[in-house]
This record gives sequence, C-alpha cells and structure tokens, in this order.
Amino acid sequence: MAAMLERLIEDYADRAYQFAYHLCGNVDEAQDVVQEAFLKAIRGWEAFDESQDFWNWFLAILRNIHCDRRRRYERRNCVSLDVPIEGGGEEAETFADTLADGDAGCLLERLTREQGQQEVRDAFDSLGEEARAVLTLCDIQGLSYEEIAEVLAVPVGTVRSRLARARGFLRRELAERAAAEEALNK
Amino acid sequence: MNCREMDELLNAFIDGQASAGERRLVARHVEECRACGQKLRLVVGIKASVRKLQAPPAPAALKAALRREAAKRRKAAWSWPALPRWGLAAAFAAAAAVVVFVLAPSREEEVPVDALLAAHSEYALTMPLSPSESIYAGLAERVARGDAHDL
Repeated sequence: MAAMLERLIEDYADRAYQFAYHLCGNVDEAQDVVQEAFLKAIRGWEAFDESQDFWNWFLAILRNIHCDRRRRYERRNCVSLDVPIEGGGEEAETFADTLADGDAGCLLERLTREQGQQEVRDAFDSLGEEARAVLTLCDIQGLSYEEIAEVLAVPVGTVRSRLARARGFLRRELAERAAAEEALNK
Repeated sequence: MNCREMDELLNAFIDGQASAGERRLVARHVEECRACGQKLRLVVGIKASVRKLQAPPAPAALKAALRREAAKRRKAAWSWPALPRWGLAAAFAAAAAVVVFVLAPSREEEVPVDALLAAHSEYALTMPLSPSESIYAGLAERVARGDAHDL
C-alpha cells in the first residue's frame, strides 16, 4: 500500500494539479481540491474496479470535489451547456451561432499574436465550469469523447454537444474582447 | 444538413472523434459552405490555443502534503480499529499460547506464561506489530532480573 501511494503521488500529482488549476483558475483552490481528491481516492481504493482506467476514475473524483465546493461556497449563475437558451423560439439560437462569419479571419489572426495566448487565457477563465471542464479534458488532457463521458458521467452525445457549445462560447468571448479592444483603439 | 447541425460534427471532426461517415459529411459540406470552412479553421486555431494554456507548476509543498496525508492513513491502518477489545485480547492470548508451544525456550530460559501475555499487551498498546520484530527480545533477561513484574 505504501509503495502504491507513493507511486500515485509521484505519477499523478502534477497532472492532477494541472487539471484542477484549469477548473478552479486559482492556485490555492487547485491545491486544496487535489489534496481532497487524493484523500478520497485513498479511502475509496478498495472499491476501485481495476478494470477501469485509474486516471479517468481519479479525474471524476477531482471534478466532483470541485463541483461540490462550488455548490457550497458560491452562488454564481453558471449557464449550463445542456440547457437551450430561453426565449429564442422553436429554432432557438445558441451562443455558438452568434459569431459573424467575417470575424473568423480576424480572430485567427489575433490568436497568432503575442498577446493572443493571454486573451485566450482570460476568455477561458470567464467561461462557466461545465465549459472549462469539457475543454480541459478534451484539449489539454487529450481524452477521447468516451473517456470524457466516463469522467463526467454523461452520455457521449452530451459530450459532443457540450464541446460544440463550449467552443462557441469561447469564440464569442474572444470576438467580444476583440471588438471591445478595437473600439478603445479608435 | 444545415450549418447549425454541422456544428457538432465540425467539432468532432477536429477532435478526431467523428465516424467515417461523419468525416465525409463534413468534408463535403465545407467544400460547399465558405462560412463553415472559416469556422472550421477558427475552431482548429482555438483548440490549438486552449491546448497551449499553461497552468503554473504544482506547488512544491503539494507532494509533501500528500505524502503526509498518506502516512497518516498508513498509521491509522495499524491501529486495528475494527477489532473489538475482547477480540483483540483473545487474539493475542491465542497467539501467545501458540508461540509458547512452538518456540518453547530451553529449560534454563523458560519464561512464565503470565510474563509472555503481559509482554504481548505492552506491545499491542504501544507499538505496531511487525513480522520481523522479535517481541521476546530481552524478555527472558528481564524475567531473570525480576523486573518483568511491572509489565
């Protein structure tokens, strides 16, 4: 058991922290979440089914702890990616569709600039928790849709729609920041 | 398929998670639809940017804190929380009886059973049992000196 725990800490602590940081956006909270997740994993070790992938199992614990903390300590209105936008009629427009076509080229150009990465960071941090979780798991952790579905305990179809909407939100956020900066520079 | 329906497929295509049929649909659609072609390139760029997002390095104290928690957990595992008191005493008494017969010392070093049981109690209360630890080390000498009475 001692050797196993040491290996867990050595192999997974850094990756776990990376994931937690992208969820929380905060160094101290990320550290707390990782510690709590490790404790929970150690306590629940006997119940762990070894046919499962350990890393996905642990990510699910980590994410659930983060969500529980958010529910307990914050009353922020997070827009769920699974809920259609109200008041839009039968074919309700989603946030994903609001980007004008002509802005696509400008945005791409901004992303390649030096400050582009900071803009992406700021826009990413402003997203809701569901969006940050699914983007982190897909684009940063590199999980497949099936693995993401396992971590988030949702169907694969839900993962697909959440990713599409999360990227739509991110596109919109980047476009709004770009427009605001251009207005300031005029 | 309209552009809105294509949105999810575009993202699955970029993530390498689209089926063969879906990939064909996307390829055909972006050939015909300039807006979706632009959206595809933009989403590729955004995915690449998100992928590059860095978290600061994990604090040095994090692994130390995790190791401390793991050590606490290991220590707690030695305290036999699940055994009721009578069960613990009976288990040690039985173990002592077995050891007396199996490891019977020579006539000159024979140790009273009471002293053996008392030694077990001392170790059970104060130290974790280890297979490599000889709980009888020095016991015969202590009995011979007469200072085993306070065990």
